[in-house]
Parts: sequence; structure tokens; C-alpha cells
Amino acid sequence: MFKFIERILTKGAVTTEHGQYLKRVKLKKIGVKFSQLAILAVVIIAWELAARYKVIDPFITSYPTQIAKTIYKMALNGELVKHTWTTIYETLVGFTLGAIVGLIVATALWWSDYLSKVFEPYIVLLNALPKMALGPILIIWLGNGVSAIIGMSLLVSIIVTIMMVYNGFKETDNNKIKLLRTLGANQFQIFKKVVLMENLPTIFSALKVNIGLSLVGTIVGEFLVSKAGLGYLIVYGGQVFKLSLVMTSVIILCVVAGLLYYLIVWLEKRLIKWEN
Amino acid sequence: MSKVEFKAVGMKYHTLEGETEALKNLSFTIEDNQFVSLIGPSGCGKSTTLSILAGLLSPTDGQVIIDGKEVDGINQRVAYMLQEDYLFPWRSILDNVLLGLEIRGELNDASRERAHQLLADYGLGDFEDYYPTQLSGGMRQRVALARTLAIEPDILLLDEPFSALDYHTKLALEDEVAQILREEKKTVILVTHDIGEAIAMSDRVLVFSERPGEIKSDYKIDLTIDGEYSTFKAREATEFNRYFNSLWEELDIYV
Repeated sequence: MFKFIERILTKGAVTTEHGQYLKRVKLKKIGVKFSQLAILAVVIIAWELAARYKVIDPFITSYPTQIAKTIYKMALNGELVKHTWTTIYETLVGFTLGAIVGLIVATALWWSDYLSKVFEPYIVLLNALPKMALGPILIIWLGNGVSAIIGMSLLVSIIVTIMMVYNGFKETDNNKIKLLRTLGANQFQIFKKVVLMENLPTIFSALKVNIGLSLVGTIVGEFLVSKAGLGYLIVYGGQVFKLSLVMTSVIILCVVAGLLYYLIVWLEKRLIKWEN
Repeated sequence: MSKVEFKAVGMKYHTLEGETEALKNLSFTIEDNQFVSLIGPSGCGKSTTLSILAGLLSPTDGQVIIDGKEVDGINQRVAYMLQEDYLFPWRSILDNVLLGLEIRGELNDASRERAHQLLADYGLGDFEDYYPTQLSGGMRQRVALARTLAIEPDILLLDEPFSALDYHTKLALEDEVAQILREEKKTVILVTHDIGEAIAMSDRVLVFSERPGEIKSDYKIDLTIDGEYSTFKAREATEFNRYFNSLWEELDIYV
């Protein structure tokens, strides 16, 4: 048995010393994973026990088995898929629109130095403004529904996209641009062949930040106006004092946020192969 | 007819603080197939001269003539090689070499074949599908040379192309590049800080004065070499040290 474990830990070793090195690296990796899971397990068990033995008030904290039951019930009556999907859908539409429009605006600003100088103070101002303050205006303009939520999701992410991507574009290696110019490239070729390619990592950093921001926008939008979605469930659960529903929604939201983030990481790995 | 002719060229740069005169009344001619080095103190306008030749900058005074025609914008017959290789990390070696052809819309079977041949000639045939980060500095600069020659230029502008390499690689690559460019019968203008490199590689060395740059002196390099030319043999020629000493004195360097 021990020999078997030893063999797995030292797999691919060229010498015994290299085997010891591999073993140390793998053991450390396993240790980190184990600690991560242990923290989660301890929190869940402590929460459950504290609520059962009334150390904390289960009415205002809920507890893991009750949350699991709520999830199971919601899964059976279709509520789970409906609300989760509503939030994911609104976030993805807002995020995608924000990314596309943000990229186009950043490109226009890079293209024309004059334009970027003119718009700089406005962009800084819009970035500093708390976008949530525009919620009521969005509702009046876009109506009391999904469009206003998507509008909020877009608004929260677009300015950051513009700023991050434009700054990346501006920092493109001048010598690479010079090289292309000596080869006779026009502005469009320079953009396509160097500026865009060199900034793919920057664009992905912006996307990683913005997928989270778009989710924030969606939830805030759902707080203000909605009949479905995780934000709606949280507000509704709070109003009727059903803490298990609130906690359940927050936990699903955690999972959704993680999944959306890793979707971007996955896309990045597929598109940027040369860095590995 | 000369290949390249500078007629009383002047270049002034403007900034908010004032005006800098980089070149003043610069005149010289370069014949077809000549290998000419430009040396001079830092900031004397050598790189500006190359940029004007490449059509990246327009001179504020005078005329620059290539093949009897005044330079107006980017010239398709001229290729520029920079200090570093500037290979694009997201492109394979082959795709890096094809970059110029792609931009000029000259990508076809014949030009592709030529790119393969260039890489094979420089010992990089097996690395076509590699990415630049997987290659050594010397190999990368050879890829940059292949990228420069793939567009079949008549005139090559080399802006300190070996300065970013370690000394051993630099010596080996100087020799390789000098031999390749002699065989290909190109007109070459090399900007360098290295006096030895200038003498070993060129037919002629032009010394620039302090800014505003003009030609201070013009050396024809004539080395006695037995057998085949190489930069290593050039460095062993009896005249090498004499040229080196006079150029060193011309540069008049105080530290």
C-alpha cells in the first residue's frame, strides 16, 4: 500500500533525488487542497452544530441542512433553474454588451489621440460616479423590467473595460509598431496585428474584473426591479424574514460567480496559447 | 547613378520646450551593393538618418533620393532591422517571417517557399512551428533577419542589430550576417557604436559629428584578407588596428 502511494508520488522521476523533489512538490499541493476543503468542512459543521444547539439563533442565521433542503425543494419545483438562469442570462448579456461596446470605444480612443484627449475627463468622471445612483433613471428610461437590469449590468462594467483596455492599447510597444510601419502597414493592420494581439492578456484581465462587476450590476438591478432572479430572491426572502431563502440564494450566487469567472479563464487559456 | 543620395538634409524636432536640430546640411552618397557603417557620438542623428531613409520621417530641409527618386513615405525597396528582434510571441517562427509579406499582400506559394528556404539556410528549418520564447537570442535575431529579407529589399537599414546580444553570439552573428548580405548583393547601412564591428563588416565607414549631425569623415575600408572573407579574418588583417585607432581618435570620446 505504502509502496503504491510512493510510486504515485514519485511518478515521472528521473533519479531518486528527483523523485524526492517531485514527492515534496506533490505533497505540498495535496496539503493546500486538503486545507482548503478542511476550512469549508469546519465552517459547515460548526454552523450546523451551533444552530442545532442554539448557540446561534437558527431563525436569523439558518443552517446548512436547512439550506440543502431549500435547494432540493427549489430544484424539484423548477424555481432553482428559473431564478439562477435569469441572473446568469442578465449578467451575460450585460457583460457581453459592455465588453463589445467597451472594446469599440477603447479602439476609437486609441485610433484618435484627439478624441482620447477630449473624452479623458468625462471618462474619469463617469468612472468615479457610483453607477448605482443611475438605477432610478435607468428604470424610467428602459422600463420596469429585464432591460433596466441588463442596463445596470452593462453600465457597471463598461467604463472599467474602456479604461483598462485603452490604457493597454496606449502602452503597446512602440518599436513593434515602428517595425510594422517600416513594412508599410496601415493603421488598421497595426491595430489588428500588434495592438490587439499584444493586449489580449490585458483584455482578459479586464474581462475577469468585469464578469464580477456585471454580476454586481445585475443583482443591484434585481434589487430595484424584478420578478425573478437571485437578487429578487434575496430581497423577497429578507422582506418575509425567510433567512434560509436568503442564505440559499447567496450560496448559489457564490457558485454562479465562480463559474462565470472560470468561464473567462477557460476562454483565455484557449485563446492565449503562446504564453504556456 | 548612386543608390542613395542625401542632399543637404536637415532635420529639426519640435517640442514645447524648444527646437532640437538633429541633422544639419547632411550630404553623402552610397553606391549599389555597398556596405556602409555610420558611427558617431550618441544622439548625433544616426538613427534619425535611418528613419528618414525608411520614410518614417520627412526631413525638414534638403532631399533624400533613392534610385533617382525622392523619398516620399515608406519605400517598398527598403527594409529596417531594429536593435531587438521584436518577434511577435503569439506567432510561430514561420508566421513571424511571413509578417512583411502578409502586410504587403504578397503572400503566395513562391514567397512562402522563399520564407521556408531562408529559415532552412539559417539553420532554423526545424524550428518553423516553434514560438519565439522557445529560441535563444541569436536564433531569434536570425529569424528577424529572415523576416527582413523575406520581402526582398534592395536596401537594408540595420540599427544596432547586435547590441542586445551577448558578446559571443554577437561575434558569430556579425560574421553570419556580413556573409549573407555580401552574397545577396544588398546595399546595407549599419548604425553601430562598435568600431570593430563597423570595420570588420563594412566597405566604408562614415563618421558623424556631434549634434547637429553632419559627416565628419569618410573612410574606405580596405583590408588584406587571404582566402574567403569573414569578419574574424577581417579583424586579423594588418590594417584593422590602424583603422580602429584613427576612428577612435575621430570619435573623440571623453568619459
